[in-house]
Amino acid sequence: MRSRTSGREWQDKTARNMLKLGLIDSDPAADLDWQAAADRLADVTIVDADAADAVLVAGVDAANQAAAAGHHVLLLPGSLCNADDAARLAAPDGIVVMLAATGRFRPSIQEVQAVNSAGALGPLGLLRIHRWMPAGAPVSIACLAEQLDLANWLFDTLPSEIYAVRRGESGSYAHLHLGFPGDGMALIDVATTLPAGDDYYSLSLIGGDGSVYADDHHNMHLLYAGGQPEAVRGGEGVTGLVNLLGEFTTAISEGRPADPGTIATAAALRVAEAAERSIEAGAPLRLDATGDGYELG
Amino acid sequence: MSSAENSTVFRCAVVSVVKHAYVPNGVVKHPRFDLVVVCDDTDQPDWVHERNQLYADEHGIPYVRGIEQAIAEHDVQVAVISSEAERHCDLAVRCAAIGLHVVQDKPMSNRVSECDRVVAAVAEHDVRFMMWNRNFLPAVVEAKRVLDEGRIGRPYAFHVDFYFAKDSGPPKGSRDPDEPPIDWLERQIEAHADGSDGGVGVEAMGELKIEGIYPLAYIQHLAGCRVERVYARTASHFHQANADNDVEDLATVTLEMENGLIGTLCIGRIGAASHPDIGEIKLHVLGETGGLVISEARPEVSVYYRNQPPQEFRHRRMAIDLDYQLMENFAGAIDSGRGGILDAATSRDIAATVQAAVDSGKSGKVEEVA
Repeated sequence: MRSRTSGREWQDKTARNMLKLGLIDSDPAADLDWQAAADRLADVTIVDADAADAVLVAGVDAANQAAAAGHHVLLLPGSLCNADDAARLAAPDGIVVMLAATGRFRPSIQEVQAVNSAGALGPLGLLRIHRWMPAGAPVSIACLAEQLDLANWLFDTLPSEIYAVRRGESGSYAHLHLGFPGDGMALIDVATTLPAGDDYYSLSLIGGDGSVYADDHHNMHLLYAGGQPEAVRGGEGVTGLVNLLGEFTTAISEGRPADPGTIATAAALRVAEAAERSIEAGAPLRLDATGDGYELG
Repeated sequence: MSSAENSTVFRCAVVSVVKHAYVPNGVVKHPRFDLVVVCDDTDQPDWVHERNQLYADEHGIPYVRGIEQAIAEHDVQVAVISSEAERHCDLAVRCAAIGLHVVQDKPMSNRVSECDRVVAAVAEHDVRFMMWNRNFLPAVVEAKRVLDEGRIGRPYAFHVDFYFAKDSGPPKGSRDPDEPPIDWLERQIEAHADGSDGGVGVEAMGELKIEGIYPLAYIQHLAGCRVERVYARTASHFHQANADNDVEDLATVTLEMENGLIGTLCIGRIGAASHPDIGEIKLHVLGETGGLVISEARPEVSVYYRNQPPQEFRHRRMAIDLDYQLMENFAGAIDSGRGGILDAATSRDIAATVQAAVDSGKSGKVEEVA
């Protein structure tokens, strides 16, 4: 049932080379978002797994099995626990394997990068990210890597220095301090100590000629229902998923790797692992001579 | 008890006023403080005497060349010091030795050893000392109230963004290689016209030293803890004057505090194009049961109109009671003989944190705070 699709668009959808996506490892709440995202695209439809030519799965083994069976693969965020996991991901010729992380695809972040990549901000100086979530679980390497991927992407390179601190009995808070070649620097903190409810996200990027702020604080409505008003976030809906699915289908139709691909994911995971080593050592790490790993000192 | 119930009016000497004069102007917002004289050392350069004289004329009070003489002749109880940065502490020590309470402009000093002299002098002569600060801005007061009420549980992480969206002379990279480097003091004297001369002094200072005490005082005020270790990145990213004088105009600092608390600071003079107002100044605090996001500029009023001058702020802060509350706090400290919102010892610790951050920015290592 595609109530939001006009008759003309529906004809176009049926005429195109439709990507059939099976949601194998999703949950009912997320299924609704994937369905809503597919509704907004002319060339994606959600089908049962046995009729799919692309699948959403969790875990490297499941991804590799699906790819070996000739399915394009969307890999659920959190499936890659470290850089070794990323290295184990197989992408046979003609198969697109993509991490289904919406970080780069959120409309606010796309706007940030659009301004940045157009050169309007000048040489980048500072990136600040606050990522606060409920749940109380330890901040995982995968969780850090999601934010580090944004940093690598915005600066278009890997950090040259990393210092990190972790707090909380269960490791529920991590703070990363990065230096980038030239003058660039970044502070990223990830917390899972909010009480049950909404999360909070803030990203600011400052360059020599300008700055950009994507901050939930700026996008709050007010609800008056007695007592102090409640802040109600003006959310970004499923547009991030739509953008992600758009890149996935375009990569498939153009026969190229998705962007970001597994190389970028692995790089972010390596930086996150270096951050863990910094936490253990209580000292900063530096990019080594290979440009691919980090060392103390 | 409000200090207003004590009717004693303190006579204040403005001991050098070479920068924008927000400190002495703020002092007299409180009815218990009067400015009675401006004074400075006789051997100061002409530009210093000219500014002192101008301020004295504007306020209808005398300008006396000779600090000890002025204090002796005008029955002064409080010194308000707003000189070049490198003179701050020496003037404070001399005034404390005469028995004056001291209100001092930022930075406390560009040397921690000078701050130590002030701490010792204030203790020895049993006078009160206050570094000028912004801890009573409405948003900071609100943040403190929320934390004190336990609304987010025990706070454990404090983050401050403290950007000044101002230019500071020509942009980095604009100097012809054949031209000489920009002289720091000359640049600061020139900057007096637009009020961006916060770093006035012979010795060049970066943003950490010029403005760092404000955000670090927020963190100290809210956390109530000393900083033990610091890791920082610093850069001369925006302005030629900073690049020529090897001082930062952009810095990020990780603060590891007592009791396992964490703090971070982003600070920079990021250029007028970067924000429609003075800058995005924010506090983010995480507690064990919640989080708090505060915009330091609020409350504010938005103003837009045809032909609005480009330099005019579109968003204007309002209901600012900072000056009165600072001086009310200082009056209370004098009356009670103890305490105060940002006393000498706490200010000295903040100066030591700043120095550790500057050192870390150069060494690339974690630095212990002295």
